[in-house]
Amino acid sequence: MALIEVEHLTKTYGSHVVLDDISFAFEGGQIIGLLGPNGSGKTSLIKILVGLITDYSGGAYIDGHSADPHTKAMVAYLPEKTYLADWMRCVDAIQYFADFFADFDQEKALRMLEQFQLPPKQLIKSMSKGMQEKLQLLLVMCRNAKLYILDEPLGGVDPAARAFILDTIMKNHPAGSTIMLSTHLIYDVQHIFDSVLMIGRGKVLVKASVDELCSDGRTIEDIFKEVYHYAWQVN
Amino acid sequence: MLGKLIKHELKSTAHSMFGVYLAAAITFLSATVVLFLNSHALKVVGAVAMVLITLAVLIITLLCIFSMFNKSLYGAQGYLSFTLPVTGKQLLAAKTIVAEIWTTLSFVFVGVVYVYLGIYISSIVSDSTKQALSAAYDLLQSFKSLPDAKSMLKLIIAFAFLLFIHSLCIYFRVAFSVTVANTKTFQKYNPLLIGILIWAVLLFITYAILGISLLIPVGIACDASGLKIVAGDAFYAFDNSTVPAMPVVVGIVFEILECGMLYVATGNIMTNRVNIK
Repeated sequence: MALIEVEHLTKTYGSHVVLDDISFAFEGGQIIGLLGPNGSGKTSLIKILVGLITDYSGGAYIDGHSADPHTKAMVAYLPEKTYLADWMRCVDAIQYFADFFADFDQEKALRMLEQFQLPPKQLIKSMSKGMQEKLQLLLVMCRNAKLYILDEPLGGVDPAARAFILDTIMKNHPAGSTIMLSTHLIYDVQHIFDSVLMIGRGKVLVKASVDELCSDGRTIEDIFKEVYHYAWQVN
Repeated sequence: MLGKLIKHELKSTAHSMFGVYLAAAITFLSATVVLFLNSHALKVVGAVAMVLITLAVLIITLLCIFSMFNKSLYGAQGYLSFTLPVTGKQLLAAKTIVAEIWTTLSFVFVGVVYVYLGIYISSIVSDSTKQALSAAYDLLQSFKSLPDAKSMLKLIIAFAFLLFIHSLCIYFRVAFSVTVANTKTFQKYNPLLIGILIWAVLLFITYAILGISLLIPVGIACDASGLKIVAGDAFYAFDNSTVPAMPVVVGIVFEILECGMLYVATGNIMTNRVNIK
């Protein structure tokens, strides 16, 4: 059974069709690049998978289930937004994750807090956006999850921070786990992907393994430019 | 999981609520100090301040509960709340239990202040705190003619239960309205406006039904033989006087049903219909 399976999924906002009858499936144990320009439906697809959007037609399944407590227990989700409450300090956020997620490694989180130079007792609301994002990344990557869904973790940060984020992700995900990482910044991350899913204009434009795609010597970035240039021209 | 949700819900609301109780306690203590000063004007100001602080505590408690509900579910924090491995009904149950805890605490605070205020005002009128305490004691003595302590306790429990169900209904109506305002159908409009509109419609329907239910004379009465549910007879003999039996039974049954329906509906909408922006 595929770990992620989407069947005839359609999502609209008013008259605007964001995802138009798309279907695909991915086996577990790989790093999947969810690629597409801004507004191509990456975040909508992710929000459907994690259960934040419920009004869609078709099916979106993780481990054979639509979003429910079973899937939420196995998915570590990093959204674009900062979602921690104002009143929390780092230690409160760590305790929160430890209480709700059985796969959360609290000791590792406390160690990483020190490595990331995040003050344990500082109120989150008084932290910079960068510090808050670091903390959220730490919380997500300290889970021993089966599936990590990371929505634009590299967006809006400088190249040094991008390298740091990628390094954290690669070093901390357990062997055999699956990562679905959405981005429109291909250059920095293309080397980590096993498979890619390119979506645009509501459709799946490419779904293939990196080995297949790059067999003729082209890079993912070359293919991305080619696909989206083409997709934008025909639409 | 419900226990953990309650624990974190308590922690998150405690920050705001303790601020409210601290302000209330300071006002209460200041007014108490004034009691011992020899100025009528200051005593009146103290009494008014106490009334105002009780009103403020109740209003701020409700505002705090409702804003936390909206913020933690349908604001940015919803990204975390709705990706926890729990159901919508568990989220709602935890928030409701914590809301009831704060509401009860606020009502206890208000009760304490009003009992104190009774003595306080008596002291302004009688010019003597000792006299006021004596008047309060006399009042307690007059309760001797009431039914036995067990019946009184039952009456108090029945009254507390009525209040509990009523406050639960208030909370569920708001939770339902805010949740429906965050579904796809209504999300394109102003969620606050839609929430208020749905709440007003619900309130109108509820009070229309409660009004009609008052015409059905099934009530709770307390007489010399104790607490009982009575039908038909609107008045009850009570220590040489008559006390109206409050025809609240049908209304309370309706409110219990309303709470159940709103809980199930809101929980299901949270799980299956809500979109987090």
